Amino acid sequence: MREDHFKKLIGVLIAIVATLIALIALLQADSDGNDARAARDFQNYALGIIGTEVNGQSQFNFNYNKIFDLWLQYDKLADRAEQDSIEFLPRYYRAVRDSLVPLAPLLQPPYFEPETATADSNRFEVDTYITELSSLSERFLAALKVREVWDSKTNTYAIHLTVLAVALFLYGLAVTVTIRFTRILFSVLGTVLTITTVIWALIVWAEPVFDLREVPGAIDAYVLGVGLAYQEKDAEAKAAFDAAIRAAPTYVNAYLARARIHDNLGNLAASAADYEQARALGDSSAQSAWNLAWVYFRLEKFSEAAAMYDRAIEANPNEVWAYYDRGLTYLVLGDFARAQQSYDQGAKLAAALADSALESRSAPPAYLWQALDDASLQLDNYIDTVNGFQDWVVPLSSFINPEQGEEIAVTLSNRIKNLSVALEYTGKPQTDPVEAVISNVRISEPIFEGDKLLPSAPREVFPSDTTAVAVTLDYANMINGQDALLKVYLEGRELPQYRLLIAWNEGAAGTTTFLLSRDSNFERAFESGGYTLEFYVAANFIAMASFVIE
Amino acid sequence: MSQPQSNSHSDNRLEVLLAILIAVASVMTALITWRAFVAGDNAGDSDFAGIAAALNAENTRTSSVIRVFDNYSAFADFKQYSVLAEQLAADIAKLPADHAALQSLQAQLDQTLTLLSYARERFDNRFLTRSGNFDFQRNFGELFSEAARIRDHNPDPHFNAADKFREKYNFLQFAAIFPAAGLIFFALTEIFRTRIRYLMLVSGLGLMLMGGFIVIFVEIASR
Repeated sequence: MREDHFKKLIGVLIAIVATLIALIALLQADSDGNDARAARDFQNYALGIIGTEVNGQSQFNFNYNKIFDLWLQYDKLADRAEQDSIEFLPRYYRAVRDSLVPLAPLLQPPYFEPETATADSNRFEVDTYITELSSLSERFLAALKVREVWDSKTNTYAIHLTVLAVALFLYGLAVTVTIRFTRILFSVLGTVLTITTVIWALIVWAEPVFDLREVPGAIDAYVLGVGLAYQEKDAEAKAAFDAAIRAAPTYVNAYLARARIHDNLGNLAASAADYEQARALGDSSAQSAWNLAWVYFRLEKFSEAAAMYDRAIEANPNEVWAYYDRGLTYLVLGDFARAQQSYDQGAKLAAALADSALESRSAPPAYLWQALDDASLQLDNYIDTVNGFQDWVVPLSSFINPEQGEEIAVTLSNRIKNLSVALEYTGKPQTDPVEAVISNVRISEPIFEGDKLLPSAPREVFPSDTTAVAVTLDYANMINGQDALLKVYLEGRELPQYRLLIAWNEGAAGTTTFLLSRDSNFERAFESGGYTLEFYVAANFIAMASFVIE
Repeated sequence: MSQPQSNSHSDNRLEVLLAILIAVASVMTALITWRAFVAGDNAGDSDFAGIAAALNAENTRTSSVIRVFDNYSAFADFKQYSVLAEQLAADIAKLPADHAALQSLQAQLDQTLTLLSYARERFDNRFLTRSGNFDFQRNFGELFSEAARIRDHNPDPHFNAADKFREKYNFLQFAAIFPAAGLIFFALTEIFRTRIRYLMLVSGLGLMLMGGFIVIFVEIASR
């Protein structure tokens, strides 16, 4: 080719690349505009979420904690005055009580039933702000995802523009160099870069941007499901989540929500399937991994559960629960070395979290205590299952080497109980061992002679109207001034209102009896269920006892 | 000899014209890009102003709701003490002077009136309706509009302006394609030696002018 022809051809190519640059710049401008619009949307939604939550909570607090509470107080005062035959007062209290009704929507239909003195606060919350809040949250997430895609497109177009600028440079060089081979090489390379970039830009341009907000009915159905789930209407909530998934088959949050509902309804296989689908669609959160692992555990898929706990720990290495639950899984699998290792990792992390809180002079995160309580509860469940005391979420037949497992579980459970109390009261994981002994704990019906509490025959089961029980115990090797702590659990969950911490002052050895009741007037009966008492001395777990309220 | 000289002379003039047109098209592309950049920048500024207004509005809504519930709570206290005082006063008026409970009821009425007076001071009586209820919406509306006089609470005009600027930005980017495409035709004018070169020249010129018209139209429409 003659040189002037070659130069003219290069001139045309340069002009074509310049036009392509202008075209891609237009695509980038459009993409950048959409990116900015989505960013504006999610910022706006975020503001709306905060405002809606605060306003909704204010409204709920006024309705429930102020007006409904006052209504209950006046109702009880009126009943009490009537019982005591006090003149005038029942009428006064009822008049005041009734005057409160128009002040709060919560005390209106369909939320309030004056005959039973109950208010459907969950439904009120859903109608007041939960629906709007979850709608805004979903729109926020949808806008965030839209923004991510447009942002990625914008950045990719920027790469295209850079590559086309390089192609222009190569064409320019091709015109200036005199060596034939080099000028052909530069012009071919420039052309290859241009063609590749154009194809790439077309692929990026054609990539669809999924916006959940534009799918008719998807978010509305999901939000309806959230409201129903909040009111514990699981079957109706499931139907709503089904509709959301039908409208948007890639709706991750709907799968996660339906998985929880399946779990509540006892459909573990369906729950696992929904969690798996959510994860397949891109959810990689520690929460979904951890929930799926717990479903696998109950489905007796222990290896899958352990692997999924690993995923949860990878996603968030600060999840104390996940280490303990993984340890429990290995315990059931009979892999005691790994179980021990996982429990040790959990304990180390718990101590580190408490230490970090101590250093920053703040309180350790509340979930830490829940995680420790839950870990010891699950170990106790394991032990009880091995001993045939209860049916757990998995049967004894699925345990490998349960006899050895039980010994290890007892040690681990005691260690976790000590760790929990030591961290809570000293901020340190280690405590000095104590010689104190508490034994022969007896629970009985309290019998008084005047003000004196008399011992009576121990019992394990008490009637449903029991308002107080007497706890008698023998003790030895106690030191006055030592911290003595009582923790009370109902069905494995601690009842903090019963917690009792005293400086011991009853001497080294003997027998003592104290009362356990819901209130100091012995007016309110215990809630039904199995109670467990745990005794600690100087942050060392010493003894436990249990009783049942029918 | 004179014919080739004439052709060469004509070619030279065309070369000069092409050089001028290429320069104009390049400068035009740069100018349009600059205008587009300004529009894009304005869109970002308007978005920012809109978000700031939305933040103001949410902030005011939240603080107003909290303050109104404080007032409403005081009104609820006022209401219960009013009802109690009315009941007590009615009974005291009906009872004979030697009734055993009279002294205790009078004492209770005095206490209730003290509490009533305290509750009465904790909310603004402007918000009491004729039927004796508390006008929650009016209290909220006054607090909100009071704050709105000081700070911008309306994000919509800013967001609308941002959308318009963004539209302008896109149009201008679109307009920049025309002079750039015109450069292709000017380059082709250089290649072709037949009369088709004039068609190329006119096409390039047309594209360049088209770009110019679009820019003028967009600039006028956006004013």
